[in-house]
Amino acid sequence: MKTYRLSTLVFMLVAISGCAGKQLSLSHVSNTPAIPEITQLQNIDLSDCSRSYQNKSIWVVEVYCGEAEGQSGIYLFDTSGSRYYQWYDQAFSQWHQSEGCPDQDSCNYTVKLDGSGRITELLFTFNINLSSGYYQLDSQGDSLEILDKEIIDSPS
Amino acid sequence: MTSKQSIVNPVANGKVRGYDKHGAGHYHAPRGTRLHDGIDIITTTGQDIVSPIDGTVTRKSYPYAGDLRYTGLLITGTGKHKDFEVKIWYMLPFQTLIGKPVIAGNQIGTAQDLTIKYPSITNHVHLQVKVNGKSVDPATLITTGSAAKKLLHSGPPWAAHRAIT
Repeated sequence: MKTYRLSTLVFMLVAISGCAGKQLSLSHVSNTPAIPEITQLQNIDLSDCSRSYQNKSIWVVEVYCGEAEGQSGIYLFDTSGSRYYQWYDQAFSQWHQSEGCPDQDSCNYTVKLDGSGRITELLFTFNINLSSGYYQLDSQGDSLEILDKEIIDSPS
Repeated sequence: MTSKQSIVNPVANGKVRGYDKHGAGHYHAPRGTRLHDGIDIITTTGQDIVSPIDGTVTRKSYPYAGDLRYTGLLITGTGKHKDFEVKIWYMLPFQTLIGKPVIAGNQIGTAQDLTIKYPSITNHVHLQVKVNGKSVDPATLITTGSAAKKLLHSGPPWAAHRAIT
């Protein structure tokens, strides 16, 4: 597992401009990039408080801890730098946080990039406990807008 | 498997759910594209549910993202069960137990009515056990009687309502 320093991350972000117009699947990783927005969260155990998804230099980081506004939520890292969003569905996020993901294949993001390599859409798929489904999210505004979602509950 | 690793049936005289239109209750029973990661033990609504292990009640657990009526508990093992982690769903837990120690056999809540959500399903609690982080068949750990264990693991999978205590 790799941890990137900010300078390295910035270099990689510049280097991914060739990703324009593609869809990328992000794999879950257990570490978190060393970037100011995350490292500002003092006195927390990032391994317990965050879940990171990465493909090359595209990152989606879910941060669960931190009571102050602007700490808990979703951070995106792409060619445009980093962006912070509040949770798109508070109830779902609380459930997702408390129940976790049973393994690395159970939760994943697929992102859509625009011509400049900026994340414009995210598709979060999950299979947690007895529920599975997805959230399709628009990331072009100030908040993550739910474009579509599906949650299927199955009997045990 | 040592005798120290046995667990208590969370439902007194509880039997594994046999086949109904929603599937069967044995471990790794088919569930569409997935396998049943635990066992279902038949209950009646309001029936006492006891802790299968010695442990600490870590938190309430919710099986469904979209339906928080159904609840359960996550119990982290201690002592002879220190390598265990148990989830039980479809039960109303005693709220005062959250964060507290429990002994195997202590009542931890009561069974819920699953037929509200799934009419015609055999009412049950779902028991999921991990040992050292790996999912195991809980039925193999419920060893209060060797004859009962033999009953559980013999016969065809459609042999409904097999005794596990």
